Amino acid sequence: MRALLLLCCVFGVATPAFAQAAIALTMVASETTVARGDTFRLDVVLTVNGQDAVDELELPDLTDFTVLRENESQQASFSTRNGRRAVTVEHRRSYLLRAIKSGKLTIAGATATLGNDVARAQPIVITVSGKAVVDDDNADQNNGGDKNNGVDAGSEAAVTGSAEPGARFTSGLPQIFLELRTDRTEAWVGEQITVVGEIWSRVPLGSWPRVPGLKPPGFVCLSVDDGVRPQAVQRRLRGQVFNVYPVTRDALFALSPGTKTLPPIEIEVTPAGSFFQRQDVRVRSGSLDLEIKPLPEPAPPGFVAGAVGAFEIRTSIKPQRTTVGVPVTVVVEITGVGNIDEVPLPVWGVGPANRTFPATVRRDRKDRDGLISGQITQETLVQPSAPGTLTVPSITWVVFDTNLDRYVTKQTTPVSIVVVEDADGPRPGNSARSSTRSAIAAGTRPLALDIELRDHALLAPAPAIGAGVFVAGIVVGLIGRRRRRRIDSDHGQRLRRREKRRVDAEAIRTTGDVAAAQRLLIDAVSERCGDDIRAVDANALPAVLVARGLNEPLANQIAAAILGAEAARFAPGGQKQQAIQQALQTAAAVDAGVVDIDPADAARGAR
Amino acid sequence: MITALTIAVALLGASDARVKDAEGFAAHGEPETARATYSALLDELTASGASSSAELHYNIGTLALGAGDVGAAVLHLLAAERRAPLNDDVRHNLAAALSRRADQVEGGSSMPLGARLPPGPVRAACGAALALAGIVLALAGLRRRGLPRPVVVGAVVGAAVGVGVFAVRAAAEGVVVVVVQQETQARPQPDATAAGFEIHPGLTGTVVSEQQGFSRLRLENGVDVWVEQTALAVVP
Repeated sequence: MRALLLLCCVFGVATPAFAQAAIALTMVASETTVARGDTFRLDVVLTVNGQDAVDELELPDLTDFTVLRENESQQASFSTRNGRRAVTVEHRRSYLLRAIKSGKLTIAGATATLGNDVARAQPIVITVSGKAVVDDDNADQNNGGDKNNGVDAGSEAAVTGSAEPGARFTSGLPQIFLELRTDRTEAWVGEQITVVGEIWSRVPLGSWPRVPGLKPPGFVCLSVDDGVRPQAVQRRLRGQVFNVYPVTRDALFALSPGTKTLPPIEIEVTPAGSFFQRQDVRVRSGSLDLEIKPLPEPAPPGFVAGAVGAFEIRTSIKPQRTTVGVPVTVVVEITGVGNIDEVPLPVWGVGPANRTFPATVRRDRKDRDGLISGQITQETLVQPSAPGTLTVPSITWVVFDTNLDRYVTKQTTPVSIVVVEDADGPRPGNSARSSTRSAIAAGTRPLALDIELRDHALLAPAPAIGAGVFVAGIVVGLIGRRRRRRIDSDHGQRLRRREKRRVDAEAIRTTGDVAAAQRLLIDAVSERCGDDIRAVDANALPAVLVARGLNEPLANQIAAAILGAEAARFAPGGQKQQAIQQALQTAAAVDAGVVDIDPADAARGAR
Repeated sequence: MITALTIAVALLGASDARVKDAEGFAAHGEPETARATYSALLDELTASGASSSAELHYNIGTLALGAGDVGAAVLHLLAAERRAPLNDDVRHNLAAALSRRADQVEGGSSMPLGARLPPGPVRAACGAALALAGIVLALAGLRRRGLPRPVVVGAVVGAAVGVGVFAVRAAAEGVVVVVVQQETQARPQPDATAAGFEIHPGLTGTVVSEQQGFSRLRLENGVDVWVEQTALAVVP
């Protein structure tokens, strides 16, 4: 029988953008052939096209395997199909499984239902090689006499972990019980033992507590829950379907050898539905006996208690070149699986000639597939005192490798850097860095160096400045064009000629040229009254000028001035200066009547 | 005046020193400290109203990418791309950041032409074309003989082209936002109780409208969703 689990997803309201609905279900195993005790990964992937929630999701029965870890993730993708907007949500449930039986084990297919759509994943057959299969019945028989170590005791105990759930109930499984299980019953001092607490219930639970981490005496205890509460699953046990609710998951590291007992834990749960009439039920687990083995004696020289696990060590120096007196950073990194908080650091030195500052140590602990792992980073500032080569010698570090069940001596490669005396040489954190860009992550380009913090501030207002110049250019151009047109008009030309006569008059006064004064006067009059007056006799001139619009006194004055100038030209020693003065004053009077304009304008127009 | 200038120069010098510090932190394997230093510089620039450079955003985005902060990486690398769309490093790391998003958008539109134009040179070219046209028009009006007509027409056409390119570039600078909060819900309406689906940091879109603390986000492929504004950051 397959387990049935209803997932109430968050999608509830359909929109036109998410109208399409269809589901697909696949099941993929990372390995289909494994050895007994090996782990492999099983992914159940539900793909929903649209926003609707699946009505039912029946997950595969994993009773034949030990579930070491269980994750659930969700990923959405968006697309446009046939002009319509669509969203696809992928739910992925991943299991880390350990094969505990030999033979061909079938993981039955999962089923999902959404309305009338039913998606089925194909079953997967896992071939498990190894020792004989221990079936449920045999396990029951074995567990009847030994409440914890019933399954194929001996070498397999450490692989398969503790007994089948509920093994302590020989007369039949109760409706609900609490079970403590471990991944092994025998371990070295300092080796991780994973303890899982689960409620097995044949009826769904309305609520169940989250038990704080186990703190049995004689162990270092670390939680491996990652802060995320595992989801309940359904399992089959002795032909019955149980809902399994994880309540605790801890990593224990024994501090001393001997037989250790994990005391039982007790909690209250509230079943859902009417069977228990919503009464709280107190359940109690059995105790667990663990055999902790001492590390083999004698330990090799250099071994320090706590160095238990599977670790690697490496050293490095940053930067690769420095100056006398400028410190460098020696980095010792230890990575691997084990109780990273208790791992001792190796001892090393670079000689008394170089000053070594107290080191900083950072321990980053992680939970990788239920195993405590991490990295220790020890950074030490070393100040070289002489030019030449600074060498961190090979570091020897002894660790008890729990994978190999023996001591292993790790040795690092000696690391050297160049120390220069020149004060202008590369300095850490200055020009040395400037010559090498720092790569931050794989697959990415390195950082930019010597960066400018501000954007091109001068370019930002360029369009506004250009627009201002453009508008100013248009205004200036229009003004200039208007002025040029004004200068080129008849009026402008008259103004220019009048100004020219004014200038010429000044010159005539200096030179005393009577003929020039007479021409100037005739020019002024002809411009005012027409060019044909040049041919008019001087005696008839007043009448013509009056007829052309001049007043009579001015007309008479013009005629008198012309005649006076004529007389002065042909009467040497006569009233020459007086004639010039009269002609010029008369010309000025004629010009003054040409147009009543501002003298300043006249001057600009002339220019 | 002199005091203000001195203070400005001193501040500028301090900023340069911190840039060196940040480079040193990154080179010595302290990317988080380097990122914090660069971010502090960016905050100061933002507070003073100055425009930050593409390089600064590029470094912050690259450091965020290295730290696995995809939302911040996409945000700052988009800001860097907006300032330097032709920079190969920026485009490469932005592509890397987008590829690490949990939500992969299909059918998204390609980068508009205007967004590919580098804003600095566009501004300079537009300003220069306008200024040149202004000078030409002024000379044409002032000179007695004017200027040859092809020169005037060419200058005006050049200015028009410059303004057109600037307008195209400006039109491409919409309000782009990036999801920066983990486990963000995209909902069909601006209601915190409405059922939706989960979107993840790094997803980008343009803001169409805002209502009740929600932004209506148009994703790259045209899908509209409502997202709480606290989960979004506007690309500077």
